[in-house]
Amino acid sequence: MSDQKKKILEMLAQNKISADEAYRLLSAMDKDEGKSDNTGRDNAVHEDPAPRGPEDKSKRKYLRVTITPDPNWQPGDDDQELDPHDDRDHHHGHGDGSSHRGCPDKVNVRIPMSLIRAGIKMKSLVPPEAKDKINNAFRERGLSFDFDSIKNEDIEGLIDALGDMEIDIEGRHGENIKVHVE
Amino acid sequence: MRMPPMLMHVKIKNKDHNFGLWLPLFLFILIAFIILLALSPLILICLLLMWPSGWGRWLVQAFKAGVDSLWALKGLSVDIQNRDGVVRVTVI
Repeated sequence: MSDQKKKILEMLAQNKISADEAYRLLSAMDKDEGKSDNTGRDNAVHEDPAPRGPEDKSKRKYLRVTITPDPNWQPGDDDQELDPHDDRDHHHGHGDGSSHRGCPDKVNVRIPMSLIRAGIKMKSLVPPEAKDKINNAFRERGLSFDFDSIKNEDIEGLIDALGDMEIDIEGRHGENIKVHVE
Repeated sequence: MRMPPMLMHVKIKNKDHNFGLWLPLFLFILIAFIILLALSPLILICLLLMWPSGWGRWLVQAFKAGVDSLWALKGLSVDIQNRDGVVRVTVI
């Protein structure tokens, strides 16, 4: 471990810097070390890439949510039958059976991580009176939670942790639901 | 400095409608900026009057949050296809 990294960890232990600042300093040092190692190297393709490190998390820019229906899906016995008196039913003539209620939609949403950060930081818009009500509501339900305790460093930690999140669900009709960060 | 979103593409296709729209967000941002500049003396007076009560600071934070959210929209993409049609929104 280099002397500089040791100093950063000592400063963190002495609470001179926050965990977020220490992480950024260490990431910056790792980047610089990576650049100095790359000078003079051939442009060979690496067949076995190194495991993803903290730097890769910062490069992940989007949260992707996809719902892909099963192409072989057919209205089966487990689906509700069409009710001729139900106004919600559509009587369009789709040949693939998609007029049946319950046919899964195809969804592909890409959300920039910066938008998630901006959304979380909007907590500052909550008026002080509303914050008190929120805290009281939490306390009534037995949760000692302070709305003001959410700090920007915590948000960055949460966003970084999202980089490891991967949700893969198979729905009732065979549709595939995926949530991941790319 | 991060670039703001330039264009928004909205495409709606269903039984009754089928259209695509390119919205020049950069133009809307420019117009909003000009209006803000023109109204800046009024806004400053409002801020000074509301600052002691705490609402002035709230207004500044709200404005900053709004601008951050608008800037962060770049790259947003929503694509929904169902039996009724297709809805696509892309911010470039």
